[in-house]
Amino acid sequence: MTKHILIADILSEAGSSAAKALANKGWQITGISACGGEGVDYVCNLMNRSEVMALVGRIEAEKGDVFGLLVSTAFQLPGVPFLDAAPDIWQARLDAWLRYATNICYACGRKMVARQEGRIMVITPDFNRIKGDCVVEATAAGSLHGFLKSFGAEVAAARVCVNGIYAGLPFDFEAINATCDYLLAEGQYVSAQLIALSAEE
Amino acid sequence: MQKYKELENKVVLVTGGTQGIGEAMADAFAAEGCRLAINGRVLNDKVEKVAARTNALPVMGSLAEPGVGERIVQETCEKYGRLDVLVCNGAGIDMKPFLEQPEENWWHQVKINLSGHIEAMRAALPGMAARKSGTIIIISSFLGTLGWNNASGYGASKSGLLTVGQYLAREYRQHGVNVCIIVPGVIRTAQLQVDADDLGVSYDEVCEMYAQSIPMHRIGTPAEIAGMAVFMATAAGGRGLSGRHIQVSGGDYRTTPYYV
Repeated sequence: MTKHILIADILSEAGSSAAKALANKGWQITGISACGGEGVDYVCNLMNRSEVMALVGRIEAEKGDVFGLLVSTAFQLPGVPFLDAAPDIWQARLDAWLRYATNICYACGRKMVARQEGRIMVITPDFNRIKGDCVVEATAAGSLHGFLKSFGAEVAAARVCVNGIYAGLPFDFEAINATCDYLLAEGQYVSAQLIALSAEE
Repeated sequence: MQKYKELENKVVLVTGGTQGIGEAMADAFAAEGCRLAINGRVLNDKVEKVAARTNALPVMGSLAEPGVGERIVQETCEKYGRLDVLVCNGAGIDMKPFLEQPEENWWHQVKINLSGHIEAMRAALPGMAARKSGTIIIISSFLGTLGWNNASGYGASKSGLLTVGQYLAREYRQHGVNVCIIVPGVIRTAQLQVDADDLGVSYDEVCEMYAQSIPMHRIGTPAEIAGMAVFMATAAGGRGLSGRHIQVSGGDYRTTPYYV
């Protein structure tokens, strides 16, 4: 039976690229985003955990259990300079990375744990080669590392593999997509890791 | 006993400077002849004793509250005329599996440990950059670099701190500001009681349990973390370690660092 992969945000560059690549590999893809667009099957306020939980329930009822979750955020470059990031601006970027990812991981993760099976992959960029002040964006994305490793350690015994894909910018989409396909198809012993991928040369 | 004459009269603010590692930092910097400000949540007898012993200005407030990070830096600068060293040490931890933890409790740790310190760093950097001199010392955690069961919120906040330290070091090197990161191993503080409670054992039992798996067969002391922070505040230490992290861990948690 074809396994079902949920991609959020499918409108992000990495999300839309992965959707096409994984569909070509035979995975069943469902796309979600905060607004409509190409590949978007469901629209949801991903900052609200209750709404995300309700949506995942609806998706599974309509399309089948979610085996794999791919999380990709549309990020800001150039980002807000660090000294210009007043608390509300910082919180907005932290929400865009950490709240967004933790909400969808929570909604899907609890169901995967109940079924004793699942794969969660979160793309978190490595801003190392980006010139200029990207402190805010890098920090907000970097907060995912400790979350993913901890959550991954907690659910590994339930055969739910949670990994971060720490991909250098500019993204090598082919490498990212191939890594996602590998983790979905074979990576049952790869868990709670931050997998560093080189940037596109 | 003073070890680094160059640190005499430097102005140092230590968040969470009223107990544990922070209290040891206050003592260590005071021994170097530094002028101190210490931050904690509530002004009580314990805080007053530390302040009296180190001649520190108490700058109180919870970093989880917006505005506190900025205010404590301002109060320090108003008292002493400047801030030379900001030690981002204050932390809160609430251990629970991610899927069982109330959202508000999870985010509270991020507010204290990460967002509150971001605010303090933003307040401190302009003055340091204008003087072309200053050091920010960040206390991260192996719960952030490795991840840990029941510590996903704490881990998120501490990996965020590691990242902000690396990228601020890159941005502010040209302005003469060093940003250094310490990743402590298991350290004998009151915070280990949280671990003990999580594991259902006594404080002494959890200390002994951790010691067995550490190559040095003992857990660390707050003074050993403070010693590293004092070294990072020196010109040579700060220059060499800016943008880097050091694990002070008795041989435990050996990772290969890759840097920006």
